Amino acid sequence: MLEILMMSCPYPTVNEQGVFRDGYLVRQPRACLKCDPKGCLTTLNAEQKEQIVHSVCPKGFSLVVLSWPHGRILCNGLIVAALNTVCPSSIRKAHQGQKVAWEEILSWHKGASKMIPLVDQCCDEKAYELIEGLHDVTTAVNLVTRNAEAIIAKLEGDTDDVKIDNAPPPLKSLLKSIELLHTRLSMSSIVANPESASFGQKHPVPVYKVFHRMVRLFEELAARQGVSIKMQGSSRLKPKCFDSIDTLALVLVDNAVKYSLQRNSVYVVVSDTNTSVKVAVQSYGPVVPKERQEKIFERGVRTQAAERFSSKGSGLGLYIARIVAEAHSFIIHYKCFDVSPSRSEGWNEFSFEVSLK
Amino acid sequence: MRLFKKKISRVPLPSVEVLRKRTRILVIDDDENSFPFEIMRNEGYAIDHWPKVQNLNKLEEGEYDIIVLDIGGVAKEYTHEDGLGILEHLKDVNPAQIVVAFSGQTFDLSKNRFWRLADDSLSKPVDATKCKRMLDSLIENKMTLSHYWGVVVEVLKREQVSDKNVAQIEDMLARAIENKDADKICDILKSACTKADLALRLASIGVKMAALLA
Repeated sequence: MLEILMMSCPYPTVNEQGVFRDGYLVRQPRACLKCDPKGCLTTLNAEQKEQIVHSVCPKGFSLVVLSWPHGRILCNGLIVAALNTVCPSSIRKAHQGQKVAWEEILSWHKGASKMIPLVDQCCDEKAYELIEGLHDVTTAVNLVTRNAEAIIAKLEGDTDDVKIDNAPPPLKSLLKSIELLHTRLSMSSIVANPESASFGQKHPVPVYKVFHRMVRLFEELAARQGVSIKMQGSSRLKPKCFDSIDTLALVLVDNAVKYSLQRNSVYVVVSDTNTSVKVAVQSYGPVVPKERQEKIFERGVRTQAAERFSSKGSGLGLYIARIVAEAHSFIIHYKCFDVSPSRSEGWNEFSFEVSLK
Repeated sequence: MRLFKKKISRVPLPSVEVLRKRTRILVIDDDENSFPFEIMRNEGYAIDHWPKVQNLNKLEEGEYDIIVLDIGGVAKEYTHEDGLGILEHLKDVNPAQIVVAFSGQTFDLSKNRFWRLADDSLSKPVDATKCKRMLDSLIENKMTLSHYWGVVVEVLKREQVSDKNVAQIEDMLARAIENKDADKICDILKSACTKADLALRLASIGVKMAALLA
């Protein structure tokens, strides 16, 4: 919603992440873009009781914080003549275009307040349509799963695992695709409802086996890209995990394959310590610049290198991974090594540690 | 709870394999393709299927050990909250009833209470392996004397029964369990609370405990 408000704001705005945006009537003054340090950001986070608060930045520009129940935005780089009495005359003269009447700001805030419930309603309706669509997809996948199970049941073997091992390759591929479908649906659930990552009880999970299964699911796809996937290490421990751990494995292996350069390998390393299971997924490809590393687990964030490398991707994978990690109370670490500075390529590693407690 | 486990440690209990065959499971779901009935039955699980809630009394009386409950289109005749309404009602009248939330609507934020209130969950689509793992885990961990006693203690504490009285009931119950005296187990739990409706609920937990000793 804040994004919509910023996009529809006639005045220049800045968000908590320090992203400056032009208004559709008034643009960002160059002075604000160059300003360092950006003191206006502290104004955005300061406590305030009023819905609209005017203050002046050290450079003399008006800062107006506009609040709604959804959050707040900061309009910067303005000169509100009636309230900003300390703005130096040199700034006033040089920035005629930044002058705004206080009443106009009040009027826009009032209009936006009326618009918010309508946008909310529209979003709810769209979400409901999507949910209904997902429900139909789930029903269809149920049917496919039952049919596949009926075929497996007729194969030779005492257990399901043996029967699947005895299955002809096309059936094995079909089973892998179904499993992938299940996990992809679970990904959609986590995006729509992050709480779903911790639904149900935790069960003892053989982490090595989970990743090994995922590696097998992706082997074919990776081979088509000229990438191989290798499991390394050994692990016997079964820490208690939610079902969503499958989704985490999918995201990390999928990403590693997606962002791997041809003729390289993806390594999935799983090992036990006395109190935990450690997992590291390594791949060779474009690395994440240091200044963007903190951001990659945020929703919708894709680095420029990732966008250049692959047009596919929504920036949701690592966000989902973070949600699953949070549900299990662990952190996913990112590091890159052996980076070639000229090409910004190197080894990427995503790692985490699941505690036995 | 540790003390109770110690008190009944000499009582022989059926293995998980035996319990698996004995456990009565009911799946309530309007989509018959959503659960792997055939495979699970072939594996020895005793599973009934209702496309919707057919007999609420049976559920209230704890006829089934585990109920796998869908959220939508299963109980609109009983409650406008459908599966969630049934789950809330069962947890109220029969707190020891093991219920598994079974739905594809994990993405629906308005249904989070359904998932949180249940003993475990299965999000659709499911395969037989996942169903087996989850049901075995419930049989192993929740169909135990200690778990049922834990539920009784929770009910008694809610009714503000003193710790001293709870300890006395625990002693008597442990003796009745050691003697495999099913009637006594039910009587002890029935008289643990003065409220008539609650006494019946506790007695139904006694029936479950006695069944484990059979």
